[in-house]
Amino acid sequence: MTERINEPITTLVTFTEKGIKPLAFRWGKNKYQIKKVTLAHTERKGNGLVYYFSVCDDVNYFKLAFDTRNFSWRLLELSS
Amino acid sequence: MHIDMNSFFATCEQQAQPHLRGKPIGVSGDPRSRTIVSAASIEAKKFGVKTGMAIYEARKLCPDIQFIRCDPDKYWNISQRLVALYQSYTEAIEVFSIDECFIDITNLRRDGVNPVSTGIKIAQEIKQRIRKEIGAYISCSIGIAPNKLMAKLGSEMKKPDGLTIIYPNNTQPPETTEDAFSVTEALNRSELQDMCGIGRRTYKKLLLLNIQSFKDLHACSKLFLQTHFGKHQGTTLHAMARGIGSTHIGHIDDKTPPKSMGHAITLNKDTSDLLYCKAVILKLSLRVSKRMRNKKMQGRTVNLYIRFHDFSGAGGRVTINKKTNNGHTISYLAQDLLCEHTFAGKETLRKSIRLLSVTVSNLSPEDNQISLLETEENKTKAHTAMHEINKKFGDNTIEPLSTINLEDMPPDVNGFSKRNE
Repeated sequence: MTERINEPITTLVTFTEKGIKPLAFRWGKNKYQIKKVTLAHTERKGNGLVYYFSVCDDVNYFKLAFDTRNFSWRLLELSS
Repeated sequence: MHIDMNSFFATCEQQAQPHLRGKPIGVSGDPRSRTIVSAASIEAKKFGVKTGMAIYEARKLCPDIQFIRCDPDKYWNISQRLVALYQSYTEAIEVFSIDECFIDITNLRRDGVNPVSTGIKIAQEIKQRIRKEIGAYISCSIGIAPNKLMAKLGSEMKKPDGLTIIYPNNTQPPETTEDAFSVTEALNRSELQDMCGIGRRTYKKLLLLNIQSFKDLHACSKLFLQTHFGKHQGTTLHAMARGIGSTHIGHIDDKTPPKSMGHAITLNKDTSDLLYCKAVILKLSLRVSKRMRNKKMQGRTVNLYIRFHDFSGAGGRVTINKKTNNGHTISYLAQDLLCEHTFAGKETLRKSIRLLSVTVSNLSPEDNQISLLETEENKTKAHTAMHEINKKFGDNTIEPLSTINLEDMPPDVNGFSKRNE
């Protein structure tokens, strides 16, 4: 069951020649290591751009969002 | 060449959420509200779940089905990336829908190889690149044929992940390990309703005339088909039975100006609340207005369609002298039509409403004629400012007070063409 979260997170990312890739993030007191980015897509919001990353660790699926308007990361969805 | 993504919305979700892979899922609106299956996964289709089915019907057929909320931006973005991938081969692309494209490969010869062999190579390459560049779980079926009609039929013949070549009757079959059929063979292997252009009604009518296969259709004279289906459709059916269809594929940037622009919405609950319906009409009108402004178009005719709880319908249109793309003006005209058709007095309607649709037609390019009436000019300025703010900061940043309580209104789910506007 997918749970809607929509809370701010602290994210560790890498910028490669292929683009931006989240590696790990902290949500509250929990730290999650990202094992795989399964899908990435973007959405234009006004003049800004939001990057969405569907990612997995060993047991969970997460949907993360990076908003270029304020350079903030959010955890949008979680499914375990 | 016709490329059809397999269970597109559902496979996008299965690509994003690996725990859904191999499971029957349905992409829908909020499953707690009145909604339908927008797309069923390959696994759900095996149980008979189809696009457009009500949620309860899908659950009856497949009790284990999981419903995933529709994410239109995700599908639209992936669709754009797919089109960009096809564009790396040619600009002769016709986007048929969010998950279907025609590509003209006639002139894409590689190293002196004939176009069919080149097409097969390109098709295999496209399939590989989709898996690598978009997602390993996303697959497509491809049909290669002498015309669009047969190419589309070809992509229907093997699903999922198929590649079917249909070659002209009087030529040698291509040297390939993929499925290859002559036009006649392909028609004989297909059901009538597999063909694009033979819908439910036409199919029923064909059966009534004892036409059950393409062989039967081929045996009918053009005159017979024109007598029963009219001149245009009769001629089309006669050509279909022979595998004859259009070969024209335009340029990716070719766009014919729209004749009308509209939005419709099925309400979460049937309602006879006049104020609520008026607010919904305002929201729909603002959505239409936004698209018209983006396209720099204005219109003179406003159409309203109402579907009642018992599926009966009513509607009307009004034509004004001065063309407009002002959402409020469109809304006032549509609201008047609503009252004209359903008003029962004291803010209630004579029948509960299920669906509302607002369309503006009689479109022409925008002119920036300044109104002589100061109040009209101020309204235009306010509306333009509102549009600019929403364009800069995102939809619904600023909106009329009366539409704020419509948070439960389903999101704007558009096809590929509407998204581009």
